Amino acid sequence: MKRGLITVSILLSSLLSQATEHTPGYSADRNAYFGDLHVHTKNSSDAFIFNVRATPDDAYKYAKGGAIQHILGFPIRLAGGPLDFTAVTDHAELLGVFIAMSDPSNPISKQPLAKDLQSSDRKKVVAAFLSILGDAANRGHGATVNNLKVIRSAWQETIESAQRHNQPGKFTSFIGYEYSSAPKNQNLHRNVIFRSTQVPDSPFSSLESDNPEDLWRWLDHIRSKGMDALAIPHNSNVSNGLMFQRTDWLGKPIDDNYTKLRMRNEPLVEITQVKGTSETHPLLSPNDEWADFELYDTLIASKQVAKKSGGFVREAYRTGIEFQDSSGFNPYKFGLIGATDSHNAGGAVEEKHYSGKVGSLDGNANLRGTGSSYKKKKFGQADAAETFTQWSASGLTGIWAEENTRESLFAAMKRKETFATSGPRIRLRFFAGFDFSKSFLKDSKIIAKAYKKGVAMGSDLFAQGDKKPSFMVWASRDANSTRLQRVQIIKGWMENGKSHEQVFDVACSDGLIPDNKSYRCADNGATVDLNDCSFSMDKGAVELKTLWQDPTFKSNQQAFYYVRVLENPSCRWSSWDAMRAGVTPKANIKATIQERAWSSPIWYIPSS
Amino acid sequence: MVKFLKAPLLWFLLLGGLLFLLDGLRQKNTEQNIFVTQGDVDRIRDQWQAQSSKIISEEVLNNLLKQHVEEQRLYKEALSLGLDREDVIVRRRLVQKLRFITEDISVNQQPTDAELERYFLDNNNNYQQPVRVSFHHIYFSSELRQQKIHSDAMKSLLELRQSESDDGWKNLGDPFMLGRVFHHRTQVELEQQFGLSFVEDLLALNSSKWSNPIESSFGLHLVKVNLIQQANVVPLIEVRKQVLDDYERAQRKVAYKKHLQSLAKKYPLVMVDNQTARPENEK
Repeated sequence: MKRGLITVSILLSSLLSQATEHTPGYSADRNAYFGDLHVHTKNSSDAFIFNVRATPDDAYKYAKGGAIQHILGFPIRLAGGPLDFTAVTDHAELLGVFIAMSDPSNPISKQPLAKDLQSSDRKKVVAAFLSILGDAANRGHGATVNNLKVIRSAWQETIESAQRHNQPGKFTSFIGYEYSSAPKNQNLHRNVIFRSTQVPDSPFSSLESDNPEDLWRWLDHIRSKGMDALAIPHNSNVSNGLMFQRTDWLGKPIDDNYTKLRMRNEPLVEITQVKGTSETHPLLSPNDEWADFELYDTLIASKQVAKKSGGFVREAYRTGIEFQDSSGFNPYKFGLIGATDSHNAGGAVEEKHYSGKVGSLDGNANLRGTGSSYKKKKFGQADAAETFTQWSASGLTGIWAEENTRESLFAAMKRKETFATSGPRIRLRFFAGFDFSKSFLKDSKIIAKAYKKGVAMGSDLFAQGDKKPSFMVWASRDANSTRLQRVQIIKGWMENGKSHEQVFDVACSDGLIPDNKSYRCADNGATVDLNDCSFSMDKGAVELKTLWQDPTFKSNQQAFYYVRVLENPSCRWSSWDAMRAGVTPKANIKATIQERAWSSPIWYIPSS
Repeated sequence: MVKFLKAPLLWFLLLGGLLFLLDGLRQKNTEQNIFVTQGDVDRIRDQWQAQSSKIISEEVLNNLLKQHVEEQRLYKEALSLGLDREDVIVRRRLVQKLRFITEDISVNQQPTDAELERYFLDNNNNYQQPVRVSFHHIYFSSELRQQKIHSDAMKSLLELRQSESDDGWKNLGDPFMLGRVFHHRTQVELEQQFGLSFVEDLLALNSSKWSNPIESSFGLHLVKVNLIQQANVVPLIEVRKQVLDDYERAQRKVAYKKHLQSLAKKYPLVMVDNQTARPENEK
């Protein structure tokens, strides 16, 4: 008996010592880690039609700073250096099936539908591709090509590749996939990211159900078996208003159960990526001069313009606090991330090095319609150049975590301590509290104190009587990008049963101070020379840091606050293309871009 | 026994055997025949049972055998009609098979220790550990200090040089988002975090005393280097598995290339008409 106890205590102590063992770089103040949680490879059905043959291993090699071959025959590489984490997220629907169908050694290639995929006639290939997808969409799980054996083997490749590349303390790879529900072409896609190697035999896809609520129930189910995962929706901008509705799938008003189900499984939303940014739209935020950022208007590969309301993040936050105010629950209390959605196994987040999204279809300037010649062609029903020129060299996820391991990063995602950028590695801190003093900003223990006395991005701040909260924002430039122009706090609040929004400049470069009526700083005068894409070197800030109080604060109003950091303007990728081709940038495309970062919000909860 | 006599398979085999005998008597040229061996029957049965996890019924087995025989007949006829020629799927499959065989032969045996060592030395760069730097720094923000930044930094440097205290440096300068202590960081990491020129200057420091101000993308820094660990090669024993994998991959590549070269001699290229385009490497 005694010996048993000793054994147990030895076991326990060894477990405990393991639990407290940290990887190099561990910091209790948390580090910013950058990564891409949305990358496709040859195993995605659509990547097949883009002629992409890069593997999950290629995707991780690229993420770790290596060079991989673009399908058009040139190397692609991250000029900004390696990422800290990445997830390969191939479409679950027909995962790996097309690549298997085109492989004569695979029995599935003998199916009648597969024959034309192997043709040298591009038209036949595309027609076969579409008819297979159509068949799968119509017949769902029972479709002849929905071959579980093939899907499981591709899923196994995904898992094994992630395992090969995961190096705790150095680089984190997450096992993941994309759930690609798009009823009537309205985008309801989600990326599913797993916490560990505890994953199911095959992914739950939209062929099982295109109702995202079923995905959440499945996630609940596998979590109860020890497989923790979360879902991250993206491209709400082209969901035709479906992503952030006031009703559920069946059209019933959202209730407390729906809210819990959704929030348990979807703590984060992807705000920016190659197919546009979903923060807000000038029609939804007419008083936000920066709302017009990297917008993508039409449903994917279609000419139909997407409905705005229900498709953007800021409005969803407002809808959320309206529910909170009227019904006591908030279905849209999510944090923010950015990603690329590259189908080339390597995301092009740098304007200067943009290499497109869809393999052989938009891999160079002429194909994208930004070079010296363009041969008119279609992308789905839409004009290819019209589509491709709206696409964006964006974005990245920032995560504040103690160390670069799956456990630490996943925990941070769950508590929403994340931010998004349109590509540059801008670091962004955001805290709120009632006891932040002025001396705070110069304190060398500023972060430890902020955690102790306040809450970080992604959290709730509960009212303390009538006290006015202070917000600490600290943004630091990407060492290899342009400087920062201004930091803004975007506030949404409830007043008389209705939600409102306001953009406040809170810190500006070049000694500029926000006006106390318009809440704006003057422009700092930074410019871009479109002849060579050089930009002002003498304008902008290397970091912006401030302690801010809301001049319109009312202690009894529901509110949310999130940060937006703007860089000085620089050349958009389309202008780099034009400059290299020796042509003038097209007038209908914005020539410059103000790269930016967005924090997850902090929600102020008044006492009831 | 009666049941056994009723088994269609038995009859099938008996009849097949009889036909075979008769046919053999009828004609000496047996190339046209389709042979079904016990091995074929076993294989078909086992495969079906493995896939369905059920015991095969005689009916199903007979049906599969029938399909097998029909497939063989069609296959023979297709070959005799030359349908395998100019077929892209058949061509790809054959090429793939040949490639696998060539490559597999090349990695049939493990390299000797000497061979592996040799490969490891020839490809040293792949197994190199990058330069790593550990240092403390004091940051002066160009945003906060503007014109005074250089004189502020120099003033602090003077203070440091006169000070006896070990901890005094922690209260100088401005908070830096990435902290004051950097441990064991690679050049690439630091370039990402501080910008290119800073790292160049940092690596040139050769004293463990506080440096003169160094410029980064954020302002000025006083730096005290604790350790610059030069790039070095890891011993083979630590990366043996990786080297072995790389070696095998390289062997495959070489074998495939060699094979292509020998085939180029066997099947020389003739360009028909005066074309400007030429395959690479073929002069």
